[in-house]
Amino acid sequence: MAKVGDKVPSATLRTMGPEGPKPVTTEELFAPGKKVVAFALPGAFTPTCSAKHVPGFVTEYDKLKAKGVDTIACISVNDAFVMGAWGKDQKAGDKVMMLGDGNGEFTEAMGLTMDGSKFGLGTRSQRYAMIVEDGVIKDLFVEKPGAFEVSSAEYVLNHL
Amino acid sequence: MPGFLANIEALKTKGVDTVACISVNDAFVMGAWGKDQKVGDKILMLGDGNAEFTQAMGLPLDATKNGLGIRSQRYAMIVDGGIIKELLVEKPGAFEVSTAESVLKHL
Repeated sequence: MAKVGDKVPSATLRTMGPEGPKPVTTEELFAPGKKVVAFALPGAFTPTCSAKHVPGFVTEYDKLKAKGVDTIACISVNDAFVMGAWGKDQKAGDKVMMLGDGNGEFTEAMGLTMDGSKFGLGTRSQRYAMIVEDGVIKDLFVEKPGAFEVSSAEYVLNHL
Repeated sequence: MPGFLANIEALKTKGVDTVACISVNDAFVMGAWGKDQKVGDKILMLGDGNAEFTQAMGLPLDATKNGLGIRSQRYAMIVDGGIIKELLVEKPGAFEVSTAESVLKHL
């Protein structure tokens, strides 16, 4: 599993652009000089993720920005189409970048996969949040299975 | 999807009991998509989240190049009494034989 002090692993994520899915490499997302808060969750349109996780980061957007955060990114093992539709539904606008890890490559590289096949979800991501500066993980908050505590916007804010 | 919605009455008239849409997505995504497409109870939106059905059908599609992972090929089938009566599989990228109109002609 990735740990504090590690460089964020290399992978290509995808966001929904006006003309369709657009690749975003982790090198671009976590570029030198940038402070990024990234949070990952098991799936778009799922209850906790829709009711609490994403709304928290949308609500706390101004406070996160005031702490010097350049980009807030939400990552899930879903495709860019689903992430785009979910972002619209959640009114994420340009506050939270909705990124699909459709192949699960990033999640695998982070060592934070979750087997959701029992629930018909296939292989997904564990729920976590991280603070990344200059491409290096400064803080990594991985939730215990089913929990929603340490990866919330409020919790991350307290660590910035 | 809109094609099957628009032709739902014609399909029912031909004796179809259920129209189902299957995709390698989870039930949450399929539910949200069904809402977005206003399918109501006209089309049963079914997620094959583990791709088990799609694998068993022998119709997976490797879409990892486009960040989609393993998905389903585009196809339609007519099933009567649990037996596949017609199986209309599209060529890659095509949308011809699996349309509601095409299926209607085979009923």
